[in-house]
Amino acid sequence: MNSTTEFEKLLKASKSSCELDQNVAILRKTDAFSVVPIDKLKILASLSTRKKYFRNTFLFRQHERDPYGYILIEGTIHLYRHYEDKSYILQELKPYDFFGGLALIADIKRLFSARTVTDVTCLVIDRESFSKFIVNFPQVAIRVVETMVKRIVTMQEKLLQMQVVECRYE
Amino acid sequence: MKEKRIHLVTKQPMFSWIMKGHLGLQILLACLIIATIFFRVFPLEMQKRIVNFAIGMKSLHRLFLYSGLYFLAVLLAGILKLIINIIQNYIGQKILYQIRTALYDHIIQLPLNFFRKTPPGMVISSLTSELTVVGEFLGAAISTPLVNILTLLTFAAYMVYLNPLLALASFSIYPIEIIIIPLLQKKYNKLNKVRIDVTRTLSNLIGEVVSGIHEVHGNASYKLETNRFNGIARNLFKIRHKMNTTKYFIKFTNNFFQNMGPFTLFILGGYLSIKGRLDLGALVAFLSAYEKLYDPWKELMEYYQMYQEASVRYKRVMQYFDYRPTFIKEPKDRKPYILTGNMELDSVSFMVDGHPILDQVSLKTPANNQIAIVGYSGSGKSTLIMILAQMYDYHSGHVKIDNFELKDLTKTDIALNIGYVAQFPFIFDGTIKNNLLYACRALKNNFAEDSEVISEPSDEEIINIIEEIGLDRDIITFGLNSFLDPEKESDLAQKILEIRRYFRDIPDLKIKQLVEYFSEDQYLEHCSLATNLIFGFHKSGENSGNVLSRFPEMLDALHNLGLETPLIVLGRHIVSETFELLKDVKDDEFFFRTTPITSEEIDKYHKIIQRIENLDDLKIEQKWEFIKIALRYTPKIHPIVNLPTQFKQYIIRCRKPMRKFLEKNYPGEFLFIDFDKYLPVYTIFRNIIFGTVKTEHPRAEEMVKEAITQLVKEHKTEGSLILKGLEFNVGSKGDRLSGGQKQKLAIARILLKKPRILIMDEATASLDNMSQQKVQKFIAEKLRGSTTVLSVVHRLEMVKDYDQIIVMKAGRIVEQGTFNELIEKKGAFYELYHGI
Repeated sequence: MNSTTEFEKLLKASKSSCELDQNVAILRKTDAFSVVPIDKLKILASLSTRKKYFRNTFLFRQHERDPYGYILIEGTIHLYRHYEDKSYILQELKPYDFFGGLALIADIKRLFSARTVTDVTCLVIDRESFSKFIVNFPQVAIRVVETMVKRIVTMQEKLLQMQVVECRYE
Repeated sequence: MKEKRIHLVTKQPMFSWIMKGHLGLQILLACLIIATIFFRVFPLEMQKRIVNFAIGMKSLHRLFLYSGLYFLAVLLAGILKLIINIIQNYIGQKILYQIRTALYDHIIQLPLNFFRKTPPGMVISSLTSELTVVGEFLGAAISTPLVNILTLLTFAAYMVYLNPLLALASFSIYPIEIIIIPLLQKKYNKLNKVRIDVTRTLSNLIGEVVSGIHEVHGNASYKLETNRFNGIARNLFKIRHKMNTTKYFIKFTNNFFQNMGPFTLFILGGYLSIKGRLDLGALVAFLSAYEKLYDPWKELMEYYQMYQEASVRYKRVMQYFDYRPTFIKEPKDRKPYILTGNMELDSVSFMVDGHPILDQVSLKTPANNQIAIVGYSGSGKSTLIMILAQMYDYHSGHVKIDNFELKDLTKTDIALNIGYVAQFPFIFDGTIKNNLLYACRALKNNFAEDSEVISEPSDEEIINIIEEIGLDRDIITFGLNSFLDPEKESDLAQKILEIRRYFRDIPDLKIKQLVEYFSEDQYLEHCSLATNLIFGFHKSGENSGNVLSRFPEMLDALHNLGLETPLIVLGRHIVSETFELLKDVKDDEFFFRTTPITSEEIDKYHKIIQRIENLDDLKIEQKWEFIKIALRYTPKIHPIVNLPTQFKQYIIRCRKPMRKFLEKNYPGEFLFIDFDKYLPVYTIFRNIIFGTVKTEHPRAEEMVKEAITQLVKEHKTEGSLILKGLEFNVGSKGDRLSGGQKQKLAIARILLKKPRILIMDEATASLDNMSQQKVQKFIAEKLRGSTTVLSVVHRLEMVKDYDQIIVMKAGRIVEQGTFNELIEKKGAFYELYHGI
């Protein structure tokens, strides 16, 4: 391996399997971030981390504060809304769904819980990193926030109209 | 049965300290002083003889004789002065030490009320800086006046012996000085008193702002606080200036009159000399004597000023702390009582500023009863139990414990029998163990000669209490997070290796997924390239890349392994990828979390890359810079680049030859990862898991730690981890502990001394439900039948276990009975319980 060019070639070839580039690809598939130019998206990707969750664990619970936004990469997640003695499934998430994004903009209490059904991998970004991104790239960020807000509004509308399904989990 | 009140330290006059235990030294000092006086006058006579008899008569023989004697006298006077100074200073410092310890002992016994009004800064400055002058003064309090008055008189007598007329003329100025200087000094003293008060206010203000700094930051009240500070500081500046001006006036007066002396001498002495009524030798001796007169006079003046300063300070300090402790410290002529815990309160009242906080409270309870006290906030619950714990004195009524009036019991009786856990317990800086043993050690100090009464609890007892209180998990975690030296603590290291084997066989597959185990034939994605290559680390724990770069043969070794070029290329690749990604934000360190380079380094390295294309043109240091970056690279932390699988495989193959090289060339410098060896650069936790917790699982470390705790409990090996955890340093005021941990620690600390009466003031309020129940269960089951318990209870679901519940409202007991009785009664307790 003592030849410079040989090793450089190897490094470049392995770039496609680089986690950073894979994360960029995931962000691009998400409507909120697809508007971001690729060089800035790379920075956002570098601030995100992949997290794994075992099945039947909560990512976050209703009324709790947790400062992350999530993109589902692999597995199934249910979103729940709890009432005094009942819980309802609001939505079953599919890969590349972006959820919990409101927490990236403000320190809010969760409106619903997110719980894994299978083992799950998510791309997670925290509020501090997202704020750093907003501060450094306001022009790009404003477009992201705009799509996020639109998304939240659509989701809310969907939630309100949705037929709620009573559920049990144990 | 009141014991005789002890004499208060604050009532002692300042001069009473001088002779205390220093009589022998003071007498020795006086003798030495008298001896020095002779050696001070003697040279003057020699001086006269040298002029008159040796030079005047041109006798060389006499010149040598007198000069020799002169020299000897000066030398001896010097040596004696040195010895006197050393003794003086010793006495002074010793007195200072005595005053300080006596006053400190007094201050910490003063009632709680006193400390409500007294900022800590005041106590600190009083015990430290304010008293220093007093000590310095008292050390010299006898010797200085003695030596100087004697010297003064001797010189004066010698002058009279030389020429009475001239002598009288030169003394005439002193009476004037004696009148003027005290006047000025009086003014100085007045200012000094004000100065002490202002300095105190200033140090209190500083103390307050420092402890409330978050409030200052929160409100950005910098200007407000600076203005407050400025006001006082300016005042201090004015007073200081006035004081020093007065001081310089005193100095001026002194100097002026002192210089008037030679003036008189020249006029009168010159006249007499010209007229032939005074010989020249006598005039020279007279002038010298006069000059010598100045030194003792000056010292006396300084002594006078110092006396004034010291007595002002001493009085101010003593006045401030001149209160009596409410209770007696220890019994005289008897052993402390051992109480059974019968309690009877009869019309007990307690007032604050004329308002009753407790109003005629009466209560009777047999020994070993467990009583819960509930009520609305401000109802007097805390006050009641603080009175029972002898924290406050009651103003009227009686509190009897085993028929002894509580007021008359000494603090030692109370400490031996009563354990009090405050709502916000104080945790001292030091280890957990030191904090746990605090109450027991205090008792042990009080019973130094009676070791049977109390002995320090054994490790088993400590571990037992910790487990009962539910503090064990916290302490095991502290143990897991600490480091150990396998040579000094080889037993524990062996235990850890044992637990490592248990952990390897842990059946829980989930836990196994959370750890990347160290494995000789796998690339470690959570470890740096350096650790992967060496499969170990430098014994210092320092970054291996930095260590390797310091060994001159290393670059050749890397070259021979075929790694030099790939590592440089990888380093350069990381630099260019990082630059490409972060060029717009390269000044913000925040973005550099995902790369092994810092924001400070990026420009420097990027410039090198741009300047030097060919690797062979790099200087050795530059090559090392890139190799070091490559060696820091950790795949799971730095996703910015990806290592080709072939390269990872190659690194694994290099491990053996690398180890061979390091062992041969630098024996003992490196430690290699080995399943049967303890790894001192890692925490106990990492030694047990023998690997790294995977970063991609949130809460993974918590889950693994929980699993280890479970595991060590199953194998009954938690004791050694707890003992290690007990060495954890809690930080100032226990800052490194959570609120719940502090409370559990405080409860355990009191339970360890096994009090007959346990008094708790919402002592479990910061605990989670589980821990609270655990403590409650311990009290209800293990303390039943042996301990009287009085507990202010915040959460009402906890009161069912108690024999009696007392409900308080506005300083009175409004209801009393068992849980069922009070619920049926549908009164105040019923309302509280149902939150009506």
